[in-house]
Amino acid sequence: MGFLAPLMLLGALAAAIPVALHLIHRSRPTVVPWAAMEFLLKSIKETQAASRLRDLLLLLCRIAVLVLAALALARPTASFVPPTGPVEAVFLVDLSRSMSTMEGSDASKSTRLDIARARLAKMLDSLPVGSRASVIPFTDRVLAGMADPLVRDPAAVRDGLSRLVQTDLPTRLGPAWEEAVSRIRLATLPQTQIHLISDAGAGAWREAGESLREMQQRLPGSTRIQWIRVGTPVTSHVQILDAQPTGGLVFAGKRQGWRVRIKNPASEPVRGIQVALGDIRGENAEEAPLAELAPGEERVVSIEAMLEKPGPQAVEIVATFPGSRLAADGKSTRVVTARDRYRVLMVEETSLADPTRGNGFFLAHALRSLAGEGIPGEDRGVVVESRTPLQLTTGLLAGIDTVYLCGVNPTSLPISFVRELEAWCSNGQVAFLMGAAGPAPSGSTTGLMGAFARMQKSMGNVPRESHPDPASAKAWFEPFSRPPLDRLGRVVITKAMSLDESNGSSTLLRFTGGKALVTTIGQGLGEFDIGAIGLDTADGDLPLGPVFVPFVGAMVGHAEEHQSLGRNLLAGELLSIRDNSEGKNRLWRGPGDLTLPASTPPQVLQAGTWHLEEGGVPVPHAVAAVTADPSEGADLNPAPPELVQEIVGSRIQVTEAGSLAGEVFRDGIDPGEMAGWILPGVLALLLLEGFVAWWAGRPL
Amino acid sequence: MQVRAETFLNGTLSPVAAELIERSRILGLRALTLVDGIRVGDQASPRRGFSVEFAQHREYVPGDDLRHLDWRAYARSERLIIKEYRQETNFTAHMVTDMTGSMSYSGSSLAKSSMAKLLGLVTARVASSQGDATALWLASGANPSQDPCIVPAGSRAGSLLSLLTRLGSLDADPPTETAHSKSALGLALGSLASRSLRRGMVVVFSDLLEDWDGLIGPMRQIRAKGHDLIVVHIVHSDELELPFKGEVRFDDLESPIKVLARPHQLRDRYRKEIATWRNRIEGDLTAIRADYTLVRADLDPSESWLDLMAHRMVRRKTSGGA
Repeated sequence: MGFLAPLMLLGALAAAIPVALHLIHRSRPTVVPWAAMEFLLKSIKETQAASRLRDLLLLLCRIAVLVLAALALARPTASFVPPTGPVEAVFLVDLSRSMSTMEGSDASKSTRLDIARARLAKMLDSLPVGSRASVIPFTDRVLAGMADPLVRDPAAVRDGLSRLVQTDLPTRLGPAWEEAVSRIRLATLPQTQIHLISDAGAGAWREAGESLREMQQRLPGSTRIQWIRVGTPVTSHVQILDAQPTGGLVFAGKRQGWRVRIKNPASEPVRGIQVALGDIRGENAEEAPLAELAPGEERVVSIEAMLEKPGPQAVEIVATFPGSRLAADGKSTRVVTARDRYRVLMVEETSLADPTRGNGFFLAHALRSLAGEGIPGEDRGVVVESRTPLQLTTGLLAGIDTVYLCGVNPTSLPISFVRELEAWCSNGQVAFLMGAAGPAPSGSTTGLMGAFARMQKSMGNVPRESHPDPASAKAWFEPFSRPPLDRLGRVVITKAMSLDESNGSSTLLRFTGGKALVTTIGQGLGEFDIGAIGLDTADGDLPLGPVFVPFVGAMVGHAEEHQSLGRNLLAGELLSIRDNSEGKNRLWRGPGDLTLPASTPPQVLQAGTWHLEEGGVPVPHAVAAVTADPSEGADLNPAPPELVQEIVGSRIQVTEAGSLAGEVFRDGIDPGEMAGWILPGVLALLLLEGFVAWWAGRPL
Repeated sequence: MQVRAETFLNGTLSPVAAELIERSRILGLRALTLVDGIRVGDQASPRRGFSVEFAQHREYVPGDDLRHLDWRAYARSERLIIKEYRQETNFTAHMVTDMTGSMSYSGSSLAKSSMAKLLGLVTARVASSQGDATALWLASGANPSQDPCIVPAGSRAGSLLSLLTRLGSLDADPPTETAHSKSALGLALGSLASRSLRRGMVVVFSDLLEDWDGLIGPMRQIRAKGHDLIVVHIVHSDELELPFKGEVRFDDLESPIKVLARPHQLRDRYRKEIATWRNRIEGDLTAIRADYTLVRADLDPSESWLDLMAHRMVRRKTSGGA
């Protein structure tokens, strides 16, 4: 037996009140001078035993009433109490990635979702006659398509449980809770219940804590809220956070280095890890062993791999270790474009005869360095087309992978080129414009150049920021821990500059003082990246610094990511790769032979590699990699009930789901609150107390 | 109804008390037994005389007054027969008034002692109006060595005044730690029974809260000596009902005993005890042909007192006089 409000048990101390009242009353009797003492004494002698019995009974009754009242207020719960009367129940079923964690012994393994389904079926069966139920499948959102939103007969709801399928989305309690509250507020039966069947960890509860409290206030006071806590703690776990080609570019038919970031978010060290990387067919897979990963440790594993064919293709990265319970978290896919050559158009106003005055000179060398050129036997094929604005002609952009505009005044560009460039960017290609200033050319139709001009103008006006708070400074530097900037290592540039980071821009590089050096701003359908690497030679010491080559690698990697926009995405996003070809009977085929219609961009819920098919035939290069939000794997352990009640309040009742082979389903009865049974007991005792009080002549 | 005895004892009769006396006077206070008096009165005496009321015929013996010869009987039977008449006399009413500590109980109304004094006054006035003598006996634990007969018998107006004055000055014993009060009435009755007194009437005003065996003994002696015995049992309704609520401490009026009790728990048992006690008293008094009436100190005594008087009058008439 447990208590939902254990503090109320302190009310049992009130049991001392009858004793105190008895003593107080005894000390202040009415005094009566009496004549017929003989008869009084005789009566007392003959009734003394019965009086004592009555007094004792009365005292026991009063103490029992108070103790039982305290017990009722503490809202005890017990599994043997069946619910009474028809109820309207809303079941929130967690379908997030963590629910695919394996539970139970080797002989009877099942996922948390299997347990949740079985538990849900059992609860639906045990609902009183006349009850109605509805199911809300949820992850970080309400998955309305997986269940009937209408309130149904429990048997009908049970028949629809097969539609609840596992997803790779993270857990967020707020949206589902909101939906549950809405449904309860529309309930027509007097008894209402909300049952959350989930393995939500402490992080999910904390994130939603405030809103859950607020939503509880909107529920009727009689609504019973229960969390069916699914799952046992996971002590060993490995997540693949990311995998990137070392130089940002992937060339077909050549062995290249990859950096695979893995993490152990669990509480115990993980030993015997094998990291493998290869194409989706498992061919040319390379493995790298890792002896041990400490709890909370994140490590980058370097591994070499070779993609034979050019074009967009999926790469699969797998980390395995003995005893893994959530293998999906140790698997990741990524779509990269393998190239034969990397063609760039370098535009700068300075004369190439004096290359040291322009950034293009340094950029070209950095790109070649990234591709291994200059190293014997490592020519990766970077092709640089250098032009001044006057040399720009239409048609130049054909076959170009990236455009670099270095020190170019936008107004000096031929308007025909500007229009072509804007159309080219809108198609997902990337241009970098660096170290220039001036108004937008009058022929610019998309505002692309205008945006660049505004950026340049703001550089001198933005006040410099300071971050005395370590947490704030850490937040500023946080991007350096994630790709592609993590390739830069520790940035040591100390020269302060400022850039406007408004309008949804993102920072590519910062100084150690926290100031932005390079930011990007998305434009239109495509993306036009704007960089500033020093406005003149006095400020342009970055190209001479030791981090310049890794920085350029980060830029290239960033551009590559944007060029494959729609190919690498998180579960839950819309699956829409840039594919201009149109066709009928198209569908996406994903892991487990799941299919999604391709007529409109579908929302993809399962991680893995998805191929576009037309008439059953794969469309060339139409592939997408869906990965899960790593935050889910870091919050695998169901939160302790005490913590949840501390966050959400003691109104929520916590019940262990147990396992499929466990003991919880033995009774098959939904655990109920005992308070409803104790209160009639209190009333009965009060009546008895009244009778005994009358009998004993002690109304107080 | 509340009756203030003190008021009329001091000379001013309340209308209620005055009415009680008047109605009692109409009914008359007659002895149901033969009594001996000093003067001629209207009360039957055991002696034969020559007054109005015929008693019997008897044979003439020499020396009888020839005036009492029944000549008609002689004419019919030629025998000398003397016609005798009953001699009528007055009597003495001995009022035994209990003034022990228990009589001081009043509850929220008239004390039992006050009721005793009121009824004593009525008795004395009625008796006086009939030309009968009254004597006052006191049962008190305050001075055990004192003669209980505090006002001897007298039928003159001065005697009545003296008795009323003394009666009015009586007070119940204050709560005392001695145990004399527990037997004071028995001692007073014993004293009365042991004295050579003309046969008369003994009226006891008491709550009888003494050992009943110690009381019934002297009462039997009193009856054996031919006295007409009337016991006026004065109790308070509280003593019969035990109506108190909650926790009550009872302090004995005649001893230092204090008892903590919850009357609600005792009530039924207590009432049974009281009923048994009263039944025993009534049974014993009936057995010795003494009259008994219960007067509640907190209620109008008229009904029970006049009932007693009327009852006695009826009995006297049906028995043809003593």
